Amino acid sequence: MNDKKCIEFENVSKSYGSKQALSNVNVKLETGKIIGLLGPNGSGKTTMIKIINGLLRSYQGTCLIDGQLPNEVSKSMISYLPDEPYFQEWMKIKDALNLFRDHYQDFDWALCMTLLDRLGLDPNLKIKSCSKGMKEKFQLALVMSRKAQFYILDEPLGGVDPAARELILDIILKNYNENSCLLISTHLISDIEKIFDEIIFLKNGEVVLQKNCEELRNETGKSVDETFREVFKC
Amino acid sequence: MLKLLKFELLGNYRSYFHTYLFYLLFCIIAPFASNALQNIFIPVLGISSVAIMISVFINIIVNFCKSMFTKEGYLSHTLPYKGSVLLASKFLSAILWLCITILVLIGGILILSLLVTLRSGISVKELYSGLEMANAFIRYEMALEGFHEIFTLKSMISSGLILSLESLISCYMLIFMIAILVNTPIIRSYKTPIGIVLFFLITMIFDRIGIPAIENIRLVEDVMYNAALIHGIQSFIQCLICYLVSVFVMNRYLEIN
Repeated sequence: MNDKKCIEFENVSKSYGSKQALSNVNVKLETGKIIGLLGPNGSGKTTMIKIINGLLRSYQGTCLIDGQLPNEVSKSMISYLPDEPYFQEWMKIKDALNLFRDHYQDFDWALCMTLLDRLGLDPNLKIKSCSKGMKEKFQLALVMSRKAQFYILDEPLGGVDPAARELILDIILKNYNENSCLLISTHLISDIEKIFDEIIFLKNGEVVLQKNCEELRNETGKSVDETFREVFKC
Repeated sequence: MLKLLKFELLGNYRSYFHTYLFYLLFCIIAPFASNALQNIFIPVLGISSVAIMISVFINIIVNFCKSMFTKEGYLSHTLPYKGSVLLASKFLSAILWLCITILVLIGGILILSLLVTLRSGISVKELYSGLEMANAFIRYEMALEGFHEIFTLKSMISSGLILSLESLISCYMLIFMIAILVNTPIIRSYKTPIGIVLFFLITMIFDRIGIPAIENIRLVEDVMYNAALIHGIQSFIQCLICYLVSVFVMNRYLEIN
């Protein structure tokens, strides 16, 4: 029995005024895979992610999450890490934990406390007093403490120092459920490519490549990072 | 819904709690100050009451916009709730803070009046008699004009409060709707001026259509209560329209940037 869930984009286009952010995107993201959404700045990665999360409602085409348009059910299946801090400044880290516990049934409090401990973060710390990197780490701990069907991480390594990246990748890998789908948007490919099963290259809002990583390496004889540099050479 | 409301209230109480506390303390201390200081305190209290009301009103709108359309919106809109529930929780929270603010302001004024009265040697019983006399005076004035008793002092004060509350509540829903409208791809630039124009335009439309339709209906004998009731029905209809439009627009055109 195939009980795989998926996110499907069918001819999805999105423009901001005269700027075309996505153009006829057709992709299928299935559970059981770690997928890299790769592309330079302004290629449409965040727009795709926002559509999946219901943050952009006005677009052409269809985006289906487990067969339905983004709605409250799909939101409960997705654990989303935005590319910037999104908690209110008055909160302490533990307030955010309480918020997640109250609103998401799949949130694992004990796991989150363990992850915070590994990341060296005190739950009594005020978010206002955290650095950008600390905020990203704590948000990652929150997001990875859910037992979701889809994990969508937008630039999870963006504001984190190189020394902490290995730890972050370890946390992502250890807490990723194999029956779920992990979509990671990034342009720090060399740091992260070893964990990808599949990659999607986005260029000017169009999907220029969607392939299994192993196949890509065998076909080209190059790493994903090298292929990326070749495709997006300025 | 209750969980969302709890989050809303927790998020806002820090903004207001200290202001309320200072105001109430000021109301308690003011009557015990010297006459010279009282001459300063009383106008300051009057001004601060108005300032608190205005700041709470603006703060609620600013918080709404921040939590819906800035990076905080990433959290609000990815919580597993329908847009209608999210909006309802924000609206209920706004009403709740408005009611709490009005209660605090009235409470402060009552405390102040009571303390001033007691300090000047007038008992509570005498104060009550004074109010009864004022009521009797209104009745006498109405009788002189040849009217049957169509309102009382009590109905005049309470209806005034209810009318103000109704106006503020419907104003909130209208502003929330406009904030949602101007944060869609339909309006990409000049959001604030367009929002202001829309506010006055929609208010005028509601006034033109809503008020003439039911303003002459008499539901209760007391004219003051009747006015509050009629205005309450109008406000409810206005809020309902704005809420439904907001939910429709949010579900189809929402764009968090």
